[in-house]
Amino acid sequence: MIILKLIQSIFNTLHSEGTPGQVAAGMALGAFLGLTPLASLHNVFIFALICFFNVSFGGAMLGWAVFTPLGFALDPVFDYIGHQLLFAPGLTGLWTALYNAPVMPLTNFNNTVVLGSFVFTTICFLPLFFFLRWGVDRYRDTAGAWLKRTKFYHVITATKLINVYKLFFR
Amino acid sequence: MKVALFRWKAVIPFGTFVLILVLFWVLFGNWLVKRALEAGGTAAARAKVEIDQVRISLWQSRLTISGLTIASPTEAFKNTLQADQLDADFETLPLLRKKFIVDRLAATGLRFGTPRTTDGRVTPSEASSDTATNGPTTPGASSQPKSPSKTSEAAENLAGRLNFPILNLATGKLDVGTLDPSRLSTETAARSLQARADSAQKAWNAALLDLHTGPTVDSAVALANRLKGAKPTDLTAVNNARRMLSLLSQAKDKVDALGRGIAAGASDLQHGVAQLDSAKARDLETARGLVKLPALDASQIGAAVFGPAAAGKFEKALHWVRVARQYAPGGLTPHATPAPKRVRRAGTTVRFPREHDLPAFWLKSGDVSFTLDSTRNYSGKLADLTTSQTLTGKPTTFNTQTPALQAGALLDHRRPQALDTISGVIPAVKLPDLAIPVGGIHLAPGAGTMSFRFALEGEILRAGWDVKSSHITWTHDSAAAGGAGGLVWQVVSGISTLDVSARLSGTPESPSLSVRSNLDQAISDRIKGLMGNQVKAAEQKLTAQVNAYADPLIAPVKSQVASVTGTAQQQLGASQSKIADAQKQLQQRLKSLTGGIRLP
Repeated sequence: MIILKLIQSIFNTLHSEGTPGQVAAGMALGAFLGLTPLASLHNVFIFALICFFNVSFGGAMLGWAVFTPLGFALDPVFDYIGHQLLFAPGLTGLWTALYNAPVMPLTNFNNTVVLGSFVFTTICFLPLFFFLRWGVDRYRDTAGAWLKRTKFYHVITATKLINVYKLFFR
Repeated sequence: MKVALFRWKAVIPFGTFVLILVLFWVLFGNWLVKRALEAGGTAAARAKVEIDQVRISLWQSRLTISGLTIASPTEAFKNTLQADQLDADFETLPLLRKKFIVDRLAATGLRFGTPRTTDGRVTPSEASSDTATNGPTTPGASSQPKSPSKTSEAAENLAGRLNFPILNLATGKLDVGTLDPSRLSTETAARSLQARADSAQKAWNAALLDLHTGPTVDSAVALANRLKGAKPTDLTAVNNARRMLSLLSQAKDKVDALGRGIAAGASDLQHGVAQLDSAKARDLETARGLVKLPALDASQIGAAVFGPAAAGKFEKALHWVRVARQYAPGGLTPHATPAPKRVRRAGTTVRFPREHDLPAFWLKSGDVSFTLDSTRNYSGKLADLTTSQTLTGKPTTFNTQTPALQAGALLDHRRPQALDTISGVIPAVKLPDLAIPVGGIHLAPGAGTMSFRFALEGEILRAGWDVKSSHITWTHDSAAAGGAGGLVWQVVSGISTLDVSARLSGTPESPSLSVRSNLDQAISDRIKGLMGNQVKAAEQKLTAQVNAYADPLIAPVKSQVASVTGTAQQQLGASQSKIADAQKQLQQRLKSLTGGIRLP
């Protein structure tokens, strides 16, 4: 069932009326939710960006779903990056100021995995956005048009949930 | 196609999302805080922390924890602490900076050392992520993983580093090993001395033959005879006599020199004979060493019987002092601790304290109500429990002063050499039962006096544990019937008072424990008395074995040495005697010839 939902989400997103840029931006922002630990304060901010910026909400959900397993797999890398940053003598002043500032400690930035994953995703955001935009563009020009004519596509996308989605985020 | 940057109609779903978050906090906030406290507490205590219920009110700035249980990190089915309820009044604004400042805490119904039905110990991986095993680190100091934290290491190893004589005593019987001739030294010494005696004999015989004193002596005797008819004017005869005397004198010198050499050689051989006796004595010692006795020294008895119990008390104190040092380090350097366990990798959380700022946690004042023996309630005051004493400027203190209990604790981490002290005296309390680690004997001390003090200054340990009771009772299982257990049982079952005093010193890495009790001498004397005959018989048997082995080796060598030196000295004496006789005869003839006048 989850797999079916994911496939449906992929089709709905890739074939939505949103521009490739909107879909790519949504997926790139969704990557933040997937790659960084979800229960972090910065993800509320990311979710607000997904809602208020005119990006593909479905793309964001798709990005979240796709990048979550990747986040688990890359946790050791994030831990290492965060460790290097938090333990760097030159950055101690910055971390001390942030740690003692209001709200900032609530983001858990002083945790190696949270900081490492956040920095990694931030650095990868623009390259990921441009890559995804190119990918959506290519898809729509090639396989997308053919797939849209198949019965399989119509079966997958025929669900009431699509209406809820279209109500707010098309 | 132009696309609008903002999607203003998303206000409704986002507002809904925020509302859901608020609703989620209202419905599950207590549960979230409970989970967070349990996870954080488990990581800190390295033992399961369980909470029945948590109620938090941000508006009233109050946190209530009901049914807190902290399991023992070292004992499987024991709790370190249980509390009925903790009520904390905290400051709200510091929460925005993730700092939990408690102005006042009321803790009621604290109990220590209570039993539990499940194993409350956790492995480092259960306590937090795999990085947890690396322990606290200091950013900037090193980014390399550190060795396992001292907290668990010390807790596990303090007893292990104290070598109790329990294992020797527990066997409780005499163990006599097999005499291995290859480990004995008499044979080697005997063969060596025999070789030396042989070579001395050859050398002395050769030297005696080389003297050639016989012809000289014979010539001198013949000349003396010839002088009988000589006239005093026969100067040639006189001169011949003088030359012969000179030759005799030279021969005598040579014999005397050889005599000194033989004397020195004989002395060396006698020394060898003495060494032979020493070798036999050493072999006897080796044989006696094969008799393995159980611990008989009174001081060892104390450590064997009460050492593990005393070490257990000190170990617990050391564990919690280590935890305190880990989570409340001195100074303002950034400090890393393992993050609580979560679905994803937990990682490491680093605190960056700043001067003149608030610490991450500060319990300013706490009233603690607790029981020690389930009968009486005690109360104490806890002050300035914090993660950074450098920021609060005050040490953590605990104090309770009642007629029934005097106890105190001071954790001072403000100075370079941290000082942690815990002390307490309970004049009349039901003492916990003790399992004597010999033959399943159990001691129920009943009501008595217990005092405990523990200090760790830097890495220097000073600790003491004293127990006194006048109405003790003993029980034992069937295993106590034989061996040392049976012996101990025979002794202790008639003793009704208990006076134990244990002292710990050194460092956690190299501790030293001394224990004395009123049972020590009694047990020691009893074991010595019962085992003395067995020890004596075993030693006699081994001595006989050594004698049977060594005496046949020693006797012929001793005899050979005596023979060699005797013969050499005898031959030498004969030569000396002949020379002296010849000298005497010749001098008498010369004197009678010259009429006693000394001629030029």
